[in-house]
Amino acid sequence: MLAWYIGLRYLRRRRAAWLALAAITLTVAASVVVMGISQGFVDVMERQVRAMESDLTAEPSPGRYAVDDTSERRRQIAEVPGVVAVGPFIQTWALMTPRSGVGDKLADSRYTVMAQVDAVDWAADTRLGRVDPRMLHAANEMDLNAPPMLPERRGTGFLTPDWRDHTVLIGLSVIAGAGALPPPPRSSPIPGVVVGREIPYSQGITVGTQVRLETTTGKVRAEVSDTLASGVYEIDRMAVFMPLPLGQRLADMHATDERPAQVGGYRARLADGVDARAAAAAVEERSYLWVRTWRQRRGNLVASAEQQRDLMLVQMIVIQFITVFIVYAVFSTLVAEKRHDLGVLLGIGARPRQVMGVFLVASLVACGIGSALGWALGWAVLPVLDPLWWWLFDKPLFPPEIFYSSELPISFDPQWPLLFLGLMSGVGLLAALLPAWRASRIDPAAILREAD
Amino acid sequence: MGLAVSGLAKGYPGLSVLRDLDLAVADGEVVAIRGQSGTGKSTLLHCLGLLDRADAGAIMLGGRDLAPLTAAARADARARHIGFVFQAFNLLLEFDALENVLIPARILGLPLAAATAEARALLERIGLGTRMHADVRTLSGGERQRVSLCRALLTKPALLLADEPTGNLDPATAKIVLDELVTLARDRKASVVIVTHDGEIAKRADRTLELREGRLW
Repeated sequence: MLAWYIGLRYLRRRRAAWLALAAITLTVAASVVVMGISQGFVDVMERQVRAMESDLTAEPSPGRYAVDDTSERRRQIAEVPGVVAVGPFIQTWALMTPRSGVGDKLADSRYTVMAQVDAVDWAADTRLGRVDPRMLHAANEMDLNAPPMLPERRGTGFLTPDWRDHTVLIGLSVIAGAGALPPPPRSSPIPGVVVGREIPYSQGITVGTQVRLETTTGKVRAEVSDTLASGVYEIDRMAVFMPLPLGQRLADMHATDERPAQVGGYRARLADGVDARAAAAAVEERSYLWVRTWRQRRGNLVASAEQQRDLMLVQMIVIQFITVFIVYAVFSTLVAEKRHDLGVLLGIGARPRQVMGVFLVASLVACGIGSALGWALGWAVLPVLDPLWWWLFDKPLFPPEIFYSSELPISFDPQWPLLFLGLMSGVGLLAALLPAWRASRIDPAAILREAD
Repeated sequence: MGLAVSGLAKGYPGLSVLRDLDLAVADGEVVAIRGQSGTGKSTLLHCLGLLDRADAGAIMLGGRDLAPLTAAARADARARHIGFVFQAFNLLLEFDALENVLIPARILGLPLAAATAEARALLERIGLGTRMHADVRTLSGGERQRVSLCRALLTKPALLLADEPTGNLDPATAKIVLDELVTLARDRKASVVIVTHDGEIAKRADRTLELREGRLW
């Protein structure tokens, strides 16, 4: 086709066309970087919130605090379409006091903190995928100003497979089939708990500290095995994770002669893409429990990050439109430069729409290639942004003490580059429309008279 | 069938350029049109080439009146049936010699393989076989005009219009180019109308007419 043939040739040979290509590439690259970070913040925020929340949480109706933990009830929830894992839990408040280390005595009560206890069946909870191993800190990772943790040091704590073996060794038979075990990491018979990162930071509790947790219904001893940072201060200031049997003793929900063991509710994980509200309704119908989605419980934080991301998106779209003016200027110049050629083409029989097509094709290709290059450039820059910042300013771009995450808030979600590619191609085509139309209106007779 | 023009008139506000002009050119015939500057030679050529719309009259080519055609049909007729050779060559500088010759085929969407073979044959025949892929900016005036001639003849037009085709060439080159133009056009049985001041062209033409007072004499 004539339009493609000549349009591509003009694009290749004219410097002005390269200018348009560069402008498009840089605009799309900048947009991809900005949206990659904005989406990354949303993702990190969502992961942090969902670390404390499951997709669905089924609890007794208001006024009741516990339900009998029966296999029938677990099955009812597990059989709901879309549910891929179910795990019981107990949530309760407790006072946590460290031991002084002298004569097995408790420390001064001024060291007592209010703990929000989350007792879980670790094996089931692992399947729930609630706690991201990246949120667990290495045992000695207590420095809030420390640089992001190296990947190999992440997840060495309590909720990982390492810890599962550990739990069996310290005498809690909550995990079946652990198989051959490595040598015990320590000989303490006391069960371990994972505490929010702010607790040791503010209370002087460290990994290995023995603590007592008590409620009005019971008290237990435990040892701090690891810390966890969700990034939400209110959570990290109070959260204490422990194995379900320990929580049942603390909350007086353990099995007795009169009743089976009880739990505070169930958490369920859904398959990707499943409508959480519909699944919640189905679980409610089957289990007679009160079910809420994670967004209903703690969705506001994520929603605020999403709103900021959307505002950035609006700004990026505005910038795309500004770039379109450059495309317009470049193609107007190109039409003026090639006026003689266009007159000759029209003179020897090219139709006006063919001449118009020359510039529309050139614009479409410039926008398409420029956007694709911008996409590639943006994605190439995203991973090196933080190291580059370190190198230039000797400090992290995303300080972990602000983000509470050793993970960089970067997303490679292709929806944003695809959006910019489509948008730039569309508006680029519109920008070339007027110059292209002018090109098609050239009077060939006048051009040929001028030439002769 | 050739070209048959009758009653052609063309004017501008306050100025009548062509008046009731008649012209007939047989297939393979070469007609030279001479006239003083400003007598309307280029206007006549533009009307014959459907670049300008005549005010009145018929332009029959191959038995079909082209004058009343719509703009799109006129463009199509130009591409299919009329070849142009300009004094200033009017080659496209972004393309090499062969690519320039192939432009009409691309306009018409003709099969490229056959068109390329035809273009190569034309270029070989006029001695540009070794310069097919040369940047047209590096070609001499005579070579450029020969490329222009090949482009005009690629689609085997029924009518070849040439406006001072040797105007920018030295006498020796002009003679060569003119020979090639006449020979190729006759071989292809194209009706040829050449507008010129050049007496040599008039000698090579089958007929020479003079444009005066809006008519051909």
